[in-house]
Amino acid sequence: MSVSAKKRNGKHDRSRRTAGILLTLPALLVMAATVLYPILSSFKLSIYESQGMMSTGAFVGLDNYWKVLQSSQFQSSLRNTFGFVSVTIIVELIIGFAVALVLNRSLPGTKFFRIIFTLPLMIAPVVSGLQWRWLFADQYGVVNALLELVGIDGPLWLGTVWGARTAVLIANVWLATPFVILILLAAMSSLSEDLYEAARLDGANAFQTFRTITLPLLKPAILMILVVRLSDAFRVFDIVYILTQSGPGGSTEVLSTYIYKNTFTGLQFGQGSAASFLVMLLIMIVSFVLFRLLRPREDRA
Amino acid sequence: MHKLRLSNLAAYLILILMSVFVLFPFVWTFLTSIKTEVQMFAIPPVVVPDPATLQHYQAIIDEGKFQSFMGNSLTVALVSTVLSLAVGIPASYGFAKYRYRFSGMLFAGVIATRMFPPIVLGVPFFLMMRQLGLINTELALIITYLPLQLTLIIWILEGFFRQLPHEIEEAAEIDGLGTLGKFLKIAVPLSLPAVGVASIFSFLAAWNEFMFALTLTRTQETQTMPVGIAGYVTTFQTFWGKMSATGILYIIPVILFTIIAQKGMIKGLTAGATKE
Repeated sequence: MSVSAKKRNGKHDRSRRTAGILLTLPALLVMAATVLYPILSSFKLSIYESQGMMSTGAFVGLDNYWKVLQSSQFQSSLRNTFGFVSVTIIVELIIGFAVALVLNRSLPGTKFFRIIFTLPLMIAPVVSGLQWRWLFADQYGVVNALLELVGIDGPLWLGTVWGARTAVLIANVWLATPFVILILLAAMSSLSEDLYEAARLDGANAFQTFRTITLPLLKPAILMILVVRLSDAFRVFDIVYILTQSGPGGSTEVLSTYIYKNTFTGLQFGQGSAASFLVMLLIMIVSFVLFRLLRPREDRA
Repeated sequence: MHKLRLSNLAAYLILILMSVFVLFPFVWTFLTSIKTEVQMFAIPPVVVPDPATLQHYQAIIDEGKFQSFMGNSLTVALVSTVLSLAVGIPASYGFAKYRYRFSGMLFAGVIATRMFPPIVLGVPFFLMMRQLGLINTELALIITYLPLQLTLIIWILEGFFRQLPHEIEEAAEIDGLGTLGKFLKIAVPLSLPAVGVASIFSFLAAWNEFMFALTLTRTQETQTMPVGIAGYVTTFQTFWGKMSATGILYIIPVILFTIIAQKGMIKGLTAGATKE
């Protein structure tokens, strides 16, 4: 910061600023045209009355929002989504921790297992949905055939409320747990060996070490997992659409499928947009609360 | 010593259980794809079909649907990835190295769009494409995928460019390189591995996308693979054989790629976790 810093006069700063603007401008223009503009027009749609795809031009303020909030379909899809999001994230974290802790021990063969566990992440959710639909099929499904082998009479997975919910959960856990594993593993492998050495010398057992050392140090990674997985789980669409079609009787309807149906089948574009914004608001609130709760103590203001 | 061996055993048990869970759907889909209808619906299920058949593969290729969906997927994913990289790489470099007023805010804004549920964009995109007369075109999908890919690319590459040592740039400046020169001759060549990772992920984002493709395309001529394969499930009948065969051919390239580019993939996925 000595000679070169002093040389950086106003002119230099200005040219750096221009360079920064020029480099980022094309991407920002694309984002403005493909995100900002659609979102603003969607917002406009949400505060006007619409008939089918057409806006009637009548300003209705928050009317569409109230209608959505009062609709029992929205409320039940909201409940389903919350239930789905919380259970799936808890299950993903439990399995993710178990597998990551084991992988982190670098036993022989770890590399091979890690490749296997990466696969679902690269697969289209649609394919996962279709695969599980076939596995869970009532009469010909292999899951029930396997259950029968061990003497369990499997449920009609896709035909009963809790069967269908469990199926969606399993398909999603299959798809998303690898992400949790990889993030936890990356974070664990950057933890210092010394701490564990010290804990061993102090006579801490494996569980104590995990609770007092591993868990607190992994807080940033866990926060990141929660934020990413939360926004992903809130938007779940493909699996539900393919696996259960929101059925039976709307018991697996989630917010995305509700909005999709309302808009593209029910042609309620105003309410569809209003519902989208409610979901967006919800994700923002939940992420904000998470950030507050889980931020490492030292940077808390 | 004995205790250690026991815990190793438990460790391998966990790994094997997880592997079975992960691999079973793939294996079963593959086995389904080489069964005849009779073998497929046998009770109890036939595990390995004897004789195996390639009739479903033959059928999807003869129908021509497979080639058409695959071609559309490739076109859409490749074109959108190239376009996104063309604007995304310079933007990441700019955000990382050339701060200006509001650039931090704009960067945060770009990254924050990753949090939006895509359905939020579904309605306005549909209306916009209808206005532009682009419904049922590949161009509509390409435009739609740009923001999804851009946020990914900028998220991965900004972090990478930020870590480029300042000294290299200063040396380049002394050599008389301007911004463009530094970007093209120093930053891009040094970041090729990271660019590779970013390209893979944006390609996959387009390759696997379903919801927008469902709302924006209608016919075989423009539909991509996810919509095409979902089409084998109809209200009256599900063509499990064709579906499985299509699914296997659709995911094989991705699986091979995952195995080959394993390291890069993991680096890209965990980019955020180790950044902080």
